Amino acid sequence: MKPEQAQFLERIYKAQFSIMFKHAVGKVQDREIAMDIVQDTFHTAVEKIDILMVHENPEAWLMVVLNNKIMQYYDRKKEEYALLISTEEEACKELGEIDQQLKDIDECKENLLEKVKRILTPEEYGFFERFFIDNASHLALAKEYGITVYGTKKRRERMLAELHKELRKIEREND
Amino acid sequence: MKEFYQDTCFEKLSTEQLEKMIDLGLELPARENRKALLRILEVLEARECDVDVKKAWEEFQIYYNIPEGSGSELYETGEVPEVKEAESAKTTEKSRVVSFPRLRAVGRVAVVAAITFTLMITTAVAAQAAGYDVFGTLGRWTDETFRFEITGAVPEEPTQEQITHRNEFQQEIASIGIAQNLAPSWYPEGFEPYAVKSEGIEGEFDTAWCEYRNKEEGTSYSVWVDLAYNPIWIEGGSFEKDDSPVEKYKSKGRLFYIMSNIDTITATWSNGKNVVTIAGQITTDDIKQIIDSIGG
Repeated sequence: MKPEQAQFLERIYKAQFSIMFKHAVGKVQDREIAMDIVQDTFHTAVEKIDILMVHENPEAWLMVVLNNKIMQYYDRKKEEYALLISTEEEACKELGEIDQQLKDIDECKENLLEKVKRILTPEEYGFFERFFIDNASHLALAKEYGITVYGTKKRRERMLAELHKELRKIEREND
Repeated sequence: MKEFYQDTCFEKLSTEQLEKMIDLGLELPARENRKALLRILEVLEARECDVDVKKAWEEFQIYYNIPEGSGSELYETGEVPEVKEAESAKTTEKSRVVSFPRLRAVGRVAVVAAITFTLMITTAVAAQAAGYDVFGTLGRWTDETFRFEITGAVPEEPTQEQITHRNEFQQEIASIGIAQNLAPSWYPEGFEPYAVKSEGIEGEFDTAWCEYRNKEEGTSYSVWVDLAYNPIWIEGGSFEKDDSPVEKYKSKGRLFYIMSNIDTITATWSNGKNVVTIAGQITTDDIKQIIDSIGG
């Protein structure tokens, strides 16, 4: 990055970060996730610094990107839900009264986690638990595992692909 | 006991202490309990949004702005619309008039409805081009005359205060996902911005708005900037108006419709997705100056 670009970035980062962080916290209700998303927005700003520097309204550009990334976060959550919870849909179809439903949901969750434990190695399962159950941020996992935030994203994608394949296989075997 | 829930008291307690208070319940009479609880929640919410920007910048350089991240994103950016005045100036066959939320808001400032006027602009430009005089028909329906007035009124130069307010309002507009410069930079003498806010209904619309008040005269007006996700908020809508004709006013490529209802003037513009509405107790000349200052 050229010196004037780096100066521009630092100036706009320090001017806008608080506003964007507050907005993101309001939307995702989680400080760590909000931090990830805002930082990722500024990373995108670095990648597109040529556009941002000459944009007539760089602050608005940042907000639009931020909102898009927030929507992406929710889309990913839906994707994870669809994969992990829906695989138990068949097992949970015979839900009865409310009390029984609550028991069945807990049972479904236990069944799912047991299946995941069989598929993943212990280390992988630890990552799975932190990312999908605890909803840890990319930054938290990067620090815990000593990898980059982009490495955590790749792990997530690989893990989802493997779980998708193996859970479907188990489902077919049980039919 | 009264000092217990003075504002500063809660700010001195740690987050853990405040959360414990919520868990255990406050042993106070019910009304004070609720007030104290609300104050605790406000303090916790404000702390939730506190951030050490310097530390965040350092972490950004260490963890996010690294060579391994080149070409990567943790979350996809999606489409980022370019902000060009020319694009926002397109008032095409998709032009529509607003919007059910405005009925509620205009109702707050309007006094009496003489005639309800439903303004439906559906494929107006295409129809006009095809030779069917849509606007003329509307004009004849609503009144004897329909004025086509396009002026190039030059607005007064905005003051520094007005520019600062415009930037604040524009940020609020951007926060709902609109990148265009739609915040006005001028307001009439005697008026001051009172509040800049945003609200919305998920999947339906988002609105950024600002109210302006003239304390001396006890009058007010508001400016709303809407982003509609559901076309129902754009396709059709009603404004209460008296029997004065609807005036068309073009500024920077945007065609506004100006109408009055006794002591309230309303002006509205739409490009099919975004809507700007200005309404309140101001003059038509003032509203035109406000319109001219949009994006300026």
